[in-house]
Amino acid sequence: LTAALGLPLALGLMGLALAPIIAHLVRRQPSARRAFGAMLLLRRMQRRLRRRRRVHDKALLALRMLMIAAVVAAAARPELRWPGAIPEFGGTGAVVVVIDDSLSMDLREAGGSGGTLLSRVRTQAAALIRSLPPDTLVGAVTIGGNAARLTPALTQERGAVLAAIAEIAQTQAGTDLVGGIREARRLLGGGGGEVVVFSDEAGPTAVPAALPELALLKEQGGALVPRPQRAESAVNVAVVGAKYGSGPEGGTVQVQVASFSPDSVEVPCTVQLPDGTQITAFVEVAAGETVEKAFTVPRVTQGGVGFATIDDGTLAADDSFAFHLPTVGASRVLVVDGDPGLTPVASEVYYLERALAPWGSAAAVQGGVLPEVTGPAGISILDPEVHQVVFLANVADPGPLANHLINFAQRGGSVVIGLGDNVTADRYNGVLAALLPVPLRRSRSLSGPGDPGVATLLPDTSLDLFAPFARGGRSAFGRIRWSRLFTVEPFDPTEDVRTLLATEGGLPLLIERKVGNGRVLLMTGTFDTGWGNLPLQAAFMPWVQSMVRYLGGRAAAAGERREARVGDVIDVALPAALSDIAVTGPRGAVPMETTASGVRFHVDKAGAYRVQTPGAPVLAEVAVNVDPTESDVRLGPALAETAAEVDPDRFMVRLPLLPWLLWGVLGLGLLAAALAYRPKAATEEELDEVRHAS
Amino acid sequence: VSSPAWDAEVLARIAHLHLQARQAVAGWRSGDHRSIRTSANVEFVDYKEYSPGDSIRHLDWKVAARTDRLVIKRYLAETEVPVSLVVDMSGDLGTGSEGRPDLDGTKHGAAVSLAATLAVFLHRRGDPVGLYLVGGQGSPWSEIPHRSSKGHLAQIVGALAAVQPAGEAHLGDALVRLGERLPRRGVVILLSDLMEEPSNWGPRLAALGRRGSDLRVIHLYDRAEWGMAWKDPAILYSPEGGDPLPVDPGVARATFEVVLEEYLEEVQDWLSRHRAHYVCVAADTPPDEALASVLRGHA
Repeated sequence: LTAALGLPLALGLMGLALAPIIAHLVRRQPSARRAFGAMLLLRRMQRRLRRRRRVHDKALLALRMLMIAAVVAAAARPELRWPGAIPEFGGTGAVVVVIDDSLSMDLREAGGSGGTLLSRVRTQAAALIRSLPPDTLVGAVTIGGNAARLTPALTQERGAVLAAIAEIAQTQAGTDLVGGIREARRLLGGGGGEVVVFSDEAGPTAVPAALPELALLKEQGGALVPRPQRAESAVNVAVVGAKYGSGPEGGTVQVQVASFSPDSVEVPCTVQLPDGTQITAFVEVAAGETVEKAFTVPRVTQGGVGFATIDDGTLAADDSFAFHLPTVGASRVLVVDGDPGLTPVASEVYYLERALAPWGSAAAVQGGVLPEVTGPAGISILDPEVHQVVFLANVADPGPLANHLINFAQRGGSVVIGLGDNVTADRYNGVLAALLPVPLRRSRSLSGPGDPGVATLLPDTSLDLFAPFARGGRSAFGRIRWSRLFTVEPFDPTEDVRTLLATEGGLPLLIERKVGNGRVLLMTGTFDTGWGNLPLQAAFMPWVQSMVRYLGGRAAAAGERREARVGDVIDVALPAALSDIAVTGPRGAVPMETTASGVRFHVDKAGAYRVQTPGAPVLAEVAVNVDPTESDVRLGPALAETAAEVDPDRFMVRLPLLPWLLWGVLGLGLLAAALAYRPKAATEEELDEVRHAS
Repeated sequence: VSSPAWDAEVLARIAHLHLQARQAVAGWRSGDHRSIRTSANVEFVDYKEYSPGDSIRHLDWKVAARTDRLVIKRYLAETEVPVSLVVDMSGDLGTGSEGRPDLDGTKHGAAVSLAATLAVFLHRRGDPVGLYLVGGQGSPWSEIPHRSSKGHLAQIVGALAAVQPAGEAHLGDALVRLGERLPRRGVVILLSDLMEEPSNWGPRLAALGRRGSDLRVIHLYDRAEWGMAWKDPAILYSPEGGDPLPVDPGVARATFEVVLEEYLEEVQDWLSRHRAHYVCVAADTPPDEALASVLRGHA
C-alpha cells in the first residue's frame, strides 16, 4: 500500500497549518477593570477549569490545524495504491485468449446448480472476441495439461476461433499457466498485444510459477488482462494418495483424503482391489486437512491396479485414486521330481518340500511358499499366472519340459535347475540350451571315500539372494561340503550370466542367467545328500526360502509398474520380439506409437492403463491420477497481484483521496465551528463535570 | 481611651449608626432574647433524658418517682457574658459598592451597621461588649476591650463609623491574636466576607472554640458579586492584591455558581465541625432583618 501526491509542492503550503496557532495566541483582552471581592472563588474556578479549558483549546487548535492540512493535502491530489487491480481490456489490435481447461475448472456450485467454470469461461471468451473491433487479430490457447494453441497463428477469422473455443472439452489435467503465457507470447510474435487469461487461478503454485513468463510478456510490450473465475463456494474433497504397504498381516492400503472445504466433512471411502473386492470405511476430514486411512488387504490377493474412491459431488476426477497392488499371498512353487516313485525319504523332493514349506501346506496357503510336486509328465500344470518358480530336481530327460520352461521363463517365471546322477550333459545342453547359463560338461568327484569334501565359499551378502544372511547365518555356508559336482564350460561373467556361489576350489556352484523376463539358477550340485551335505546344514532351508523370494519377487515384478499423472506421455520399454502390442485405458484402446525401445502413449484420463500382448501377462501397468494441486480449489495467489510485481503501474488499484479530503475539511470545519461556539452550550456540561468532581 | 477628633463625615456616620441601630433594636422587647448558654442556675428551661455521665445532682426525683423515668432539669444562665465583635475591614469589604451611598447596601456598610446594631442591642442587655477591627484604616481604635458603661457604646460606634476597608485581613493570624486577649468564656461574633481559604482560618477558629468561646460567624456578601451581575467582560482584581483575571461573566457565571456553592459547603462544614453558628447575610439586607437572623442563629 503506497501513497502518492500529484502535486508535491503543495506540501510547502503546510506552513499554513500554523495559522490557527497564531490565531490562538492572539486573544482579545477586555479593557475594563473592576474591583472584585470574591477573587478567592475566581481563582478556584480558574483552577477547576484550567485542565478542561486546556483540553478544549487544544482540541480546537488541532481541529483547525487538521483542517488546513487537509486543504493543503487535497491540493496535492493524493491517492492510495495497492496491487491487485484488474486492468480494463483495451483495443491493442492483437488479443490472445488463454483458457484454463484444467481439472479445477470443472468445479460446480455447491448443489450442482449452474454450469462449470469452464462453460462460463467459454461464454465469456466468446463474448469478448465478438466485442473486438473487426480488424483485431485473435488467437486462443488452452492451458489444461500442456498448453496448446487452438489457432496456429493470430487471425481475423472470428468464426474459426469461436468454433475452437466452443469445442474446448474439460480435461483432467493440471494447469500449465507458464506454457499458456509462453504460447501467447509466441502467438503475438514477440510484439505487443493483450493476453486475456480466463482461469480460476486455483492452487498454490500455478500463478507464482508464471512470474518469469509475465516479465517476458511485459518486456515484449504485451499486457496481461486477468479474468479470474471464482465459484461462489469453492468446496472439494479429494483422494490425493493411495499406496500399498506390505506387513505381517498381509499389508494395508494407505489412503490419503484431503478436504479443501471450509468445514469438516465425512465421506465414505471405498478401496477396490484388482480382483473386485471392495472395502469401505467412513473418513472424517477437518477443514483444510489431509487424513490418512488404512485399509487392510486380505492375505491372499491378486495383484494389479486398485482404486481408492470417495463421493463428494464435486470434481469427480479427483474422487478416485489408482494405486498398484502386488500379488499378496503364497508364492506358488512347482517342484519337478526327477525320480518319482523311489523312496521319498532322503530324495531331493523330500528335502525341498521341507525346506519350502517347513510348517506344512496349510500354513503355506496363508503366506510364504506353497510347493506343488509333480513328475516330468505333470509339467503341463505349470501355469505362468499361478506359479512363480519351478525346481527341476535331478530330472533325467528335460526334453518334454523344455518348451514349457522356456515359455515360463520368457514370461517372467524362474527356473531352478538342480542336477544329480540322472542328468547327462549332452541331453541338457541340447534341449535346455535356451535356459542353461552355461553348457554342462560332466560330473566330477571332488574327494575320496571318508573325505569330508570341498567346502563352499561364504556367499556375498551384497547380492539380493544372500542379503538375508548379512545379519547372521553366512558362516553356515562354510560347512556345506561337496564330494561331487557337475562342471561347466568356462565362461566369462556378463550382464546376463554370473556366478552367485562357488566352492573353495573355485568351481561354480550356483550360476544365474536372465532369460526373457525371468531367471534361471543352475545348481551344479544336488538337493539331497548324494553329492554333499547341503540338506543337512542349517543354511539349507533359509537359502531355499531366500531363493524363492528372490526369484518369485522378480517374477511378480516382471510386469512393469508405473505411476503417472493425467497429461503425461508414457514410454514403455519392451523386448523387440514382442508383437501385437496394445494399450488399454479407462476409455478402452489407447492410441499409441511404436518407438525404438517400446511404445509411447498419452494419458488424458485418470485410471489404469495396461500394455499387453495377446495371450501373455500384462507387460506394464500404469496407474494414472490427476494432479493433486488441481483439487485445491481454494483461492491461491491472484494472478493480478503476481502480475503487479512485474508491471506495477498497470495492476495498481488507485484510490483518489481528494473527495475524502474535501469531505474531511467540511467535517472538520463543522466540528471546529461547533467547538468554537461551544462555551454557552457547553457550560451545562461543564457544570455537570464540576458537580461530579466536587 | 481618649476621645478622638471626629471629622464631620464620621460624626454624621455615628449619628446614622446610632439611629439605625436603635431602630433595629426597637423591634426586640427586652427579655425576648436570652443567652443560649445553659447551666445549673436559676431559671428552668426544660428536661432531657438522663444519660450516663450526667450529674445526678440535676435529676428530677419527683418526676422519677411518678413516672419511673430519669430526667435532668436544665436551667438558663443569666450571668454576664462578654461579647467580642470581630469585624473584618480588609480591602475586599470595600468592593461591590459602586454607585451606592456610603454605608448603604455595601459589604463594608453592612458590617459596620450590623456591628453597631449588635453593640447597641447587647449594651442595652447589659452585656459587656468589645470590638476588634481586623484590617481597615481610619479608625482611632482597632481594639476596644469589653465594658458595659455608657461611653463605651459611643466609643464602639465611633470606631465603626470611622473605619474604612483597607489592606488584608489575614483572619487566621488575627484570630490567634484575638485569642490571646479574649476572656476564656464568652461570645465571639465574627463579621467577615471570609474570602480566605477556610484551611487558613478554620483551625484558628477551632482553637477559640476549644477555649470555651461561643462562636458566631456572620458571612457578609454582595449579591452583585456572587451573581456576577454585570454584562461586559472585565479584568477583575482584588483590592487586597494578587493577579487580576479577565472574566466574561456570560461564560463564567454558571461555573462560578458551582464553585461558590462548593465554597459555602466547605465553610459551613468547617464551622459546624467546631460548633460555630453560621449566618450568611447579604450586604443589602436591612439591619433589623440582619439582626433577627443573627439572633435566631440562621439567615
